Amino acid sequence: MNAHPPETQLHDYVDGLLGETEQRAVERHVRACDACRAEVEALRALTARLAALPRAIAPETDLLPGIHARIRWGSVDARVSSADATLSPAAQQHRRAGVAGAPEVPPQPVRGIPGGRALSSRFDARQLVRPRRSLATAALLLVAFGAVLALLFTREPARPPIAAGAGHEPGALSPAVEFRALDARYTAAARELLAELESLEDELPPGTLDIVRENLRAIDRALDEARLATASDPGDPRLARLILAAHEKKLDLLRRAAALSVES
Amino acid sequence: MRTPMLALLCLALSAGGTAAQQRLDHRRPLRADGLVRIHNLVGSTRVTGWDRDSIVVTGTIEEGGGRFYAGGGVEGVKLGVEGGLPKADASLHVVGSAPAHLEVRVPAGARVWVRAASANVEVSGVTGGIDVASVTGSIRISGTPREAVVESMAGDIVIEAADPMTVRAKSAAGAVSLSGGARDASITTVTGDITVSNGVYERGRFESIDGAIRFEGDLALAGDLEFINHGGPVELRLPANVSADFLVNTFRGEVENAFGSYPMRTGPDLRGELTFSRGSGGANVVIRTFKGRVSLKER
Repeated sequence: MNAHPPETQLHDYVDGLLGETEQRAVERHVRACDACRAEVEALRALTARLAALPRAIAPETDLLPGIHARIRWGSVDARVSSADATLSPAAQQHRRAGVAGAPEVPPQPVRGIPGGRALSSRFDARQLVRPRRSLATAALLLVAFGAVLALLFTREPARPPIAAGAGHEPGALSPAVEFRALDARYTAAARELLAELESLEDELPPGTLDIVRENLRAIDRALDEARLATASDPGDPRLARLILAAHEKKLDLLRRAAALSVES
Repeated sequence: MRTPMLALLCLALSAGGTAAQQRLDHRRPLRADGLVRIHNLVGSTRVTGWDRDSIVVTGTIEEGGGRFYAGGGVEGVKLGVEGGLPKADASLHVVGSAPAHLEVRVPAGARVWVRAASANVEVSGVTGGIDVASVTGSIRISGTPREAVVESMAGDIVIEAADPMTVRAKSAAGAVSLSGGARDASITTVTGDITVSNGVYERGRFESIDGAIRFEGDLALAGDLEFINHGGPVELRLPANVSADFLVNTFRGEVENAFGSYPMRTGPDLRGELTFSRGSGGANVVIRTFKGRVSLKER
C-alpha cells in the first residue's frame, strides 16, 4: 500500500475493525509513513484518554443538597483542576462508541457528480459520522463546563449553613449573584455550542438543526419563566434546581446534536 | 445557485435511475459477545438476536441508495450503507439518499450499536448492551438487553423490556415509552411525552420540559423514583395499596391527590409542597414541576 489510507480506514485500523489482510496492509503502511504513524498515534492517545474517563459524571443524588447549600448560603471556590474539566458526558459518548478524534477532512466529490462537492458530505455515512477533532474537543470542553459547575457546587461550605437571608462571608459573592453568574455561564456555553453546530449544518442530517432550535426555544421559555420566579426569591433552591435541570437539558441536547456529526 | 442545484438533481436522478435495487446477503462469523456497529441513515434497520455465532445481513438498498460495506473480524463487525446519491424534494432541498432496508441477525449476546438519521430501528432478542441513536427515525427495543442506551432527536422511542433492565433514553421532541420494569431507568425529553407502565421500577428519573409524564408501573419495595417537569403534567396512577413516601413540589401547578392530603400554598406564586406517606412507606417518590399539573391517582 503506497497511497495514504483514507481517514476512515485509519479509524477502523485503530478500532481493530479491518479484515486481517487489510489490517496488515495498513500496518505496513503506517510503519513506513511518518504522517500516518503520527495520526494513528494521535488517535490511539485520544482513544486511551477517552477510555480512561469515568462512565458517568452525572451528579449523585446528594449533589443537589450541596448545590442548594451553595446557592443559598455559600461562596464557592472557583479553582478547579484542569483534570477535572476533562470529565464530560461527551467523552462518555465517544468512549461508548469507541471513537477517536481525527483531523478535518475536506469534502469528497460525490460519485457520479463531477465537482459535486457542495452536497458531497451529506449522507455519506462514513464521512458524516467521522469526528472532527475540533468539534470533539469543543464538545468535551463545553460539557465539561457543566461538570465543572457541578463540582463547584458540590463543595461543601467551610462552615455550617446559616439561616437563609443572613449575611455571608465578607468578600464573598452573594448567592443570588453567584447564581446569576452561573446562569449566564450556562447560557454562554449553550450559545457557543449552538454556533459550532450551526457552522456544521451541512454535515448534520437534514432537519437536525430545526429540531434543535425548536426544542431550545421550549427550554428557553421554561428558563425565562423560572428566572422571573426567582425575582421574588433569588435564593430558592427548588427554583435553582429547576433552572439547572433546564440548563443541563439544553447542553445535553446540543451535545447530542454535535455527536451526530462527530461520533462513529 | 438554483441552476447548479437543478443540474445536480438531474445528475443524481439520472444516475440513480440506472442502478438497480441491490439485494443483500452477507454472512460472517462473530463471537457470541462480539460488537456490531451499524450505520444506516435512511430506510430501516432491524436487528434480531439469534443463538448462532454468526452475523447475517439481508435486505435491500433502493436505487441510488449507496453502497453496502462490512468489515471486521470475529471480535467485532462494522457494517452499513455509505455514500448514496443525494436526493432532493420538489423544492430542491436535499433530503437524504434513497432508503436501505437492513435485516441483521446477530448472536444474542452481541453488543449492538446502531446509528440512523430518518431510518427506523428495531432491535429484539439481544441480551448484550444496546446503543441506538437516530435523528427522526423511530426506535423500538424489545427483549432483555443488559443495558439500553437509546437517543433520538425527534423520533419516538418504544422500549419493551421482558425483564427489568437498565435503560437510558433521551429524545427531544419524540415520545418515549417504557414498559416491563427497570432496575434503573433514566428518561429525558424536551417536548416529547414519557409513558412508563407495566412492571416494577426500582430506580428511575423521568424528566421533561413540556412533555406529559405518565407513570403506571409498580414501585419496588425500596424504590426511588423522581419526576421533574416544567410545564407538562405529571400523572402517577398507582395501586390503592401503594406503600411509599411522597414529596410533591410545584410552583404554579395544580395538584390532584387521590391519596389524601393537598399541599399548603404559600408565597406570591402559590408555590406548594406536599409530603405524605402511604402504607409503611419504604419507596421514595419525588415530583417537581414549575407549572405542570400533578395528579396522583389510584388505578
